[in-house]
Amino acid sequence: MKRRSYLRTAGVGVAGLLAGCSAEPVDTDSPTDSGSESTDVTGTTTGGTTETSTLLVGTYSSFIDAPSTSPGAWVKERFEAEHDATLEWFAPDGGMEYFLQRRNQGVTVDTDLYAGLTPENMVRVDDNLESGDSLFKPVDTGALSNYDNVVEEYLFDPQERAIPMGASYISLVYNQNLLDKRGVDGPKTFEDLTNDAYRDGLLIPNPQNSETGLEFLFWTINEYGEDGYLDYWQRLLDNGARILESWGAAYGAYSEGEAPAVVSYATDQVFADMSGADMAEHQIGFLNGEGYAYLEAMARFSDTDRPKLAETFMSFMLEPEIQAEVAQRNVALPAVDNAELSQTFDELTPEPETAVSFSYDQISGNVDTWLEEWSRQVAGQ
Amino acid sequence: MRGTRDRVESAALPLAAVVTISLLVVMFFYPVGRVLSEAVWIDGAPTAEPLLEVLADPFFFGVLAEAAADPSVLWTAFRPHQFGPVTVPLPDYRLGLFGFTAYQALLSTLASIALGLPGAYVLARFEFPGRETVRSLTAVPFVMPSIMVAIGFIATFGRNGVLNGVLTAVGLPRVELLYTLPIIVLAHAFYDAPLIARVTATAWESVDAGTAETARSLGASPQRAFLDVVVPQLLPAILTGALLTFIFSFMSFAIVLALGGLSLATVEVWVYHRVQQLDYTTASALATLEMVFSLLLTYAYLRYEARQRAESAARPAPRKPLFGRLNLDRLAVWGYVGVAIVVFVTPIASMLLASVTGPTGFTLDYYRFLIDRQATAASFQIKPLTAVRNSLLYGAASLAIAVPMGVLLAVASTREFRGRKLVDTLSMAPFAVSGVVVGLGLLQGLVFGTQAFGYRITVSGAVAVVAAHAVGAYPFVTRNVAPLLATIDRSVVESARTLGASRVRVLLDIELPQVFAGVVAGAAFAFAISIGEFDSTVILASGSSAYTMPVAIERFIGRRLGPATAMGCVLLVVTAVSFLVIDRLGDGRGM
Repeated sequence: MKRRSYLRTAGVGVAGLLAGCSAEPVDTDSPTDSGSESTDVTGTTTGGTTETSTLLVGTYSSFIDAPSTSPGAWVKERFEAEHDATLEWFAPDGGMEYFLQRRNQGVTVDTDLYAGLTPENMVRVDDNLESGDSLFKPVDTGALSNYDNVVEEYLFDPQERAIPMGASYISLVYNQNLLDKRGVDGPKTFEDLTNDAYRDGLLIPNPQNSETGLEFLFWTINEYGEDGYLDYWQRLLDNGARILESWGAAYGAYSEGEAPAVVSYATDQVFADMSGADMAEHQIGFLNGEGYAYLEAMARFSDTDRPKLAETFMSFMLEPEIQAEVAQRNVALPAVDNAELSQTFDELTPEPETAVSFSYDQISGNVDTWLEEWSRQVAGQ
Repeated sequence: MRGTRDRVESAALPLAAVVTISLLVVMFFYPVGRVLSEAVWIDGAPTAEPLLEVLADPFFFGVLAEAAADPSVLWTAFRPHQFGPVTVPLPDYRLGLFGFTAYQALLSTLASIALGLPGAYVLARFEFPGRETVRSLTAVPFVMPSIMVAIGFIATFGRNGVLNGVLTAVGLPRVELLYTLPIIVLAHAFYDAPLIARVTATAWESVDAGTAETARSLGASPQRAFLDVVVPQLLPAILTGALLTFIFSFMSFAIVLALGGLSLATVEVWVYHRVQQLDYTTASALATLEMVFSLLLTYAYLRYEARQRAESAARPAPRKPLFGRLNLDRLAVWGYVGVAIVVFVTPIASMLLASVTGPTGFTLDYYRFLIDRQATAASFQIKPLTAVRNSLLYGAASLAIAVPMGVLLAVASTREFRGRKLVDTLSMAPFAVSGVVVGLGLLQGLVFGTQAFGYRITVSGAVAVVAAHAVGAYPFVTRNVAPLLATIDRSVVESARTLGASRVRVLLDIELPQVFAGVVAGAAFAFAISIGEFDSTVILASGSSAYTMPVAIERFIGRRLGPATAMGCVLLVVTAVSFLVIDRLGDGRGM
């Protein structure tokens, strides 16, 4: 039996005001099958027939609520129309960390599936799980529709718990208008960024709390190796590169013309196109002809009591038509090679000659060390 | 009838005390304690190791840690420094994260005093149309989310900002302020100088004109009379503001990373970083040291405050008209107004401007976006009006809880008993504990719940948000009310008690009317804390519709600055109006 009454509070602010506290009996036989975060006095459902067909999907907030466009509402509508089930989204602050912490605190995860899992999310969960089975359950990939068409490079989990959902490329976004004043073109290589021509020219989201920044850090480690990346970063900092609070802070400062380049995504022009911005201010720069592939996957939580429905959802998400629509609404690339995108979208989302990304094994056990070494060097300036 | 009322009244204070203590335990001491205990309690036994490890690490404690390992660093670190023509040997001591954090907090405090005191002077000593309004609006910067301040500051002080535009127009060289220490200091002053101005202005208004006049009649020059008579009466207020500014700047995090970058990291940045790495031990050790440092400062201040006995003004000095013949006094004031416009008004105006500027010029698209969201948002998306409504409800509810709580603790602090200073210091703890740790504690202890008596008890949603806000806000009430309560003649209180008035009656009928200005000021800032709070709110409201305006702003950050800045302007207008209302309700007796 699992309580999901808190879902009912979504959109029912008044009920939320009435009660903020709940107590759930703890079932001593299975310590992982208790707990609730109920805020709703009316939510007294105790499991049963109506709840068996509700799938609770965890994700990051911009997947369901971005100021520009997000696929959440559309996915929910389509899934519910095609399957006799209800889909509920849940985007906790902290994303994947939230679920890991629940498990480590001995509280049930209560969510069936997570959509938008990155390789480093998975590594961090595996590395930091304090006890018990993996947080995720492997999927019988043979039972998933269209799985054969998943882009092979996007498969990152050796245990087949993570099923690719989409991808994008981390790249530079630069402002040619500002670079024109310096009489230079966009930076082409990592070394360019350490040249005087691009002095005070780059804004980077902080890898400590931004996935974008962290994968850029991985990219430099791929380029310069574990022995050389710190030296490269020193030269980058000496040339006036700035590491800012978050992707939002970095992109915001870039938008105000504070620097001619920012570490962001190669899908930038789609957004620029939507808002009618000057394309010269939204040029995509792949360094050394590469882009770092930002991979997103779906994974089932191991204590879900709706494993079948979760699998149905994964199959649904892999269908070519759904992949195409989600990609465009999420402004990302599809994870399968048979999704048909509009030509405009294709043109606005350039891909690098070479895609770089660390495998699960390359990251495993390393993220904390890399980040700590790097952080101490940067903050010890 | 009389008996019932007496019983109610005599039960009121103990009851309020129980409620206050319960609230503090559930919403603060328990969640924070369970996180911080990780620094001193490992595998079921007490340990000092995590704390010692941090203390011995030069990365955190710079030259102090180095010297503990090898004292010779104290004299070998001297290097020749060139000052114009002279060369002086000065030590190149490493500050470490703690040293740097304290250093920037000190600079921020000095800057806030420098920008706040002239403001207090203008508000207290000059008369001009709209003075009351300006005074009410001084709390506005306090509620602005860091991302909004960052956008406003970049637009004002950035490479292509207003300031550089003006400088180049008049043929002066440009200044590069962004990503340097000065911009962080200025941003902290943006938040805290108005606080100092307001607190000091109130004290200034209650300086009796007679005292300075007596000094003058005895032959003191105006300067002498000011320094010897007026300044000592302002000092407690200035130091209260300075203490709060120092602690807030010491704990600063998001604004430092947004305007300064990681190279200028503070301790709080590291607390966050270690929490992200799930290294709760180091995070807790760092947060514990932050807390101890802040509480020691608070304790030192409270010892000082206790020695002060300010008198209430019988007759405040008359205000001078601001508009009039341009003398030295007015010239200085107008100079200050110019600086205030650059530092406080321009960043806010830039934000307003950004909310109506699109790629092709003026646009109302971003406000249309807000209306559109309101109309079409799905249940799992954020609706702007719901955020506004929640923020106002929580603000009012937090105020309603924080004011009695704060007054109660202020009353407790004026009583004489052993360990009173300790209780007083601990009542400031919500300001002294890392926001990251509070957030983590609330998540683990309340949202995930705590197992007791065979039940898992969880607390989340709107009620929890209000409780958390009240706990985060009451110290403002206490700090505003306690010094004033201490000035009340004890013999009046005692006579009333002898004549049969209950303690509550005395508080309501005798004490509170005399300290009403402090109560209103505390209430305004309590409201501001609630409106601006983000860290705890986002955790307690997660997955429900209990979100607030700052949460909405964060959600609306995207490739375009517009949607978030438009929501930021809504926040600005809503809070500005609220402050005006609070002060009107306070009948102009507030600060």
